[in-house]
Amino acid sequence: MYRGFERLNVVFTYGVITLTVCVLALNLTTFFKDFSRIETVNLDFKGFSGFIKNSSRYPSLRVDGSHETAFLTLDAEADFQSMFNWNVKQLFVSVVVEYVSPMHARNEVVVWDKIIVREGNALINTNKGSRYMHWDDGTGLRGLKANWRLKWNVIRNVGPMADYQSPAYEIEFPKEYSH
Amino acid sequence: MDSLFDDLKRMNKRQFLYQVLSFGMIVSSALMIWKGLMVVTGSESPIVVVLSGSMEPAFHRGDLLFLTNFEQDPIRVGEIVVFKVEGRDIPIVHRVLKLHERDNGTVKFLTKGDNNSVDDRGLYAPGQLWLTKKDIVGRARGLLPYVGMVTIYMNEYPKVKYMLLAGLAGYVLIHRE
Repeated sequence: MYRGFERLNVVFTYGVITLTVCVLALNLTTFFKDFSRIETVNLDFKGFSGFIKNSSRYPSLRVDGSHETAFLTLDAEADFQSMFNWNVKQLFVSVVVEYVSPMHARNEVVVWDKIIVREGNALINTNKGSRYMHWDDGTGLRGLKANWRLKWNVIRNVGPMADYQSPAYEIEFPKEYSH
Repeated sequence: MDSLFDDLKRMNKRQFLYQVLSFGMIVSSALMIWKGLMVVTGSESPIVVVLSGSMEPAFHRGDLLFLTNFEQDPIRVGEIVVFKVEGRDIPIVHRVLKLHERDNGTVKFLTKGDNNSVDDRGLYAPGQLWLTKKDIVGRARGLLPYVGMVTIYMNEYPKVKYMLLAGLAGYVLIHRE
């Protein structure tokens, strides 16, 4: 019985140490990989295929008060294939619109995102329109000059997570409601 | 079975007291490490276990997450935050989808699980539309898969937990270095 305990203990300790060394080695081989540069094929703001309007008429959407919403179309083709290695589990790529509004000094709204888990799917193209409506918290969208950029979050199989972003590109919202 | 208590039989009173003290040492250093981590990371719970699949494929049930929550570190869209909701015991791990910050620095934001099709307003407390800084337990900074399954099993089968704890405690007490 006693011997059994002793042996289990030694095997367990040895196992934990071996796994820890493997994890550290795995992280060491991928630690200096540069995730901050993407291969950009085309980054272009196509305009507002949809609309910009005041959405206070839709109380069912559970927003508080009067809000403007827009639907924008971007054409972002970017290549994330070079980022994959044996310690990358997932890339989370999103298109973020950043702007200043009368009510808020800083607004950040995700209008498109994608989960990439395979190198083969790492060429993104947003030209089907954005995934989410752009809701402003208030009414600051008409004639707004905003920035948009790509952000990506690298999740390793094991190890630290990190966030990266592209330079900002300017867009200008329409001056009038479209409906 | 006899051999298990051999060490114990050979001990005198003082030696046994020493065993009890070193057991106390182990418990208090574990507590110190946990509290020390809280101070260093600024998070009330620096290590959490993922319990749901709402962030798959990034996080699976049983993954360990390491959190930080530095005051000077602003929350940004795209970050993965762990937050508490009034009326729910278990903190939720989701990604920030929208954020609005006022001139005076107060910030409100909306989250969404990568694997969920809608944002988290349905998960928040009734009438709550946004999260603020005080709801945040921490921001995810590191990932260690599978290890958290141990705590999940222990919480699902409390008997296993007590047996394991009693076994370890007994082992430390009666076994001499």
